[in-house]
Amino acid sequence: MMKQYRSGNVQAVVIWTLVIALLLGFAIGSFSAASRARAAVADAEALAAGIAPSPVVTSARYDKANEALVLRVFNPGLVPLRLIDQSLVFKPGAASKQEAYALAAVPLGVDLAPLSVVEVKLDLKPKSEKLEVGDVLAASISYVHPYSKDFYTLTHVFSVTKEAAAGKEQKEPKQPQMNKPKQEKGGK
Amino acid sequence: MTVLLAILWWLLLFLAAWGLAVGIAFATPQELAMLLGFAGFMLIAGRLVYGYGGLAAFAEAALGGKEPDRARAEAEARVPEPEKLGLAALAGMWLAALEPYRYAFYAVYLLLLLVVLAGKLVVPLPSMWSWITGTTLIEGVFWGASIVALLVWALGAAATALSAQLASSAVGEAAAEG
Repeated sequence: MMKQYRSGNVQAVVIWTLVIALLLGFAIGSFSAASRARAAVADAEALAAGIAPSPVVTSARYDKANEALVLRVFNPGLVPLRLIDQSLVFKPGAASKQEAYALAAVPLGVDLAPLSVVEVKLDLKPKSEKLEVGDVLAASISYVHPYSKDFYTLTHVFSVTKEAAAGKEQKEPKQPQMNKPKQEKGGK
Repeated sequence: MTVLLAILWWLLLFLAAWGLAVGIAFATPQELAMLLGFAGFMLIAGRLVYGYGGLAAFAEAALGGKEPDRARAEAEARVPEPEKLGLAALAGMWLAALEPYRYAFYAVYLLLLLVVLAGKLVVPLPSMWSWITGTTLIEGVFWGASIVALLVWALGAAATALSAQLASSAVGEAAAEG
């Protein structure tokens, strides 16, 4: 009597083929999805690299000794920016003896690489009085980026509080803010 | 009825061609590599696919008591006097004649597997992300080839199993007679 073949089972072949086909289909689907995800990420990166976002002032500080307003400016995008010049508008508070003045277009010439932070020093008007509590400074920086010939402007409002007058760093809140005017108090 | 079926057939064919065209147009390069890998390995494996398919059909017909395609089996078996062989012996000879093609196919497939594994493990990778997704073109070729390899394995195993069944049933008959 001849020995029977153990592999003579077509049902087993069919079942194993279905199991392997399921696994193979999962692997191939994953590979295909991964290639699509990769292409989508590459597209998004290319898009993000082409959009020039606005630089963000993360903190401001009054440098008493050098009579300067020091801004830390962050470039959140993937496009290099160049800060061209600055201008300051000064609104004196009640404690100040100075008159209001505007100081425009003082050259700056700072390059701001993608995803980096620079400190920009805005010199206040020489021989002016020190900043007092209640003063408000509006510091504007104009900047350009390589995708446009236009000039853009960033304006940062710096209110001189007691700590700010002492030279303490004034950090910007990390929460999203819409820069809406504050609601009027009182009323009825 | 025949006209209706013909219309349905051509409609389905048109839809399939349209789907294929759209799929190719929107495919990523890796998916195209997969398609090319499938087509290329299908060319290599054509002999095996049709051979094992024909052999499985031959053995199934013989087991079911129907008239198998003996002329084709005699042409495929590659023995000096195939007309003198019984059905089980003919199936066995046909299976043996396909063996070199099977080895060649698996050799090429394993070579490709080694290349893909080397690319995964040996080549220094620029980032974790590219290692996880790992979408190289050669890997696409490998996955396309894997479909063909599964097809070849399944058809070969089925043909072997059916031939073995045929042989054991023939042996059983011979033992019962003798």
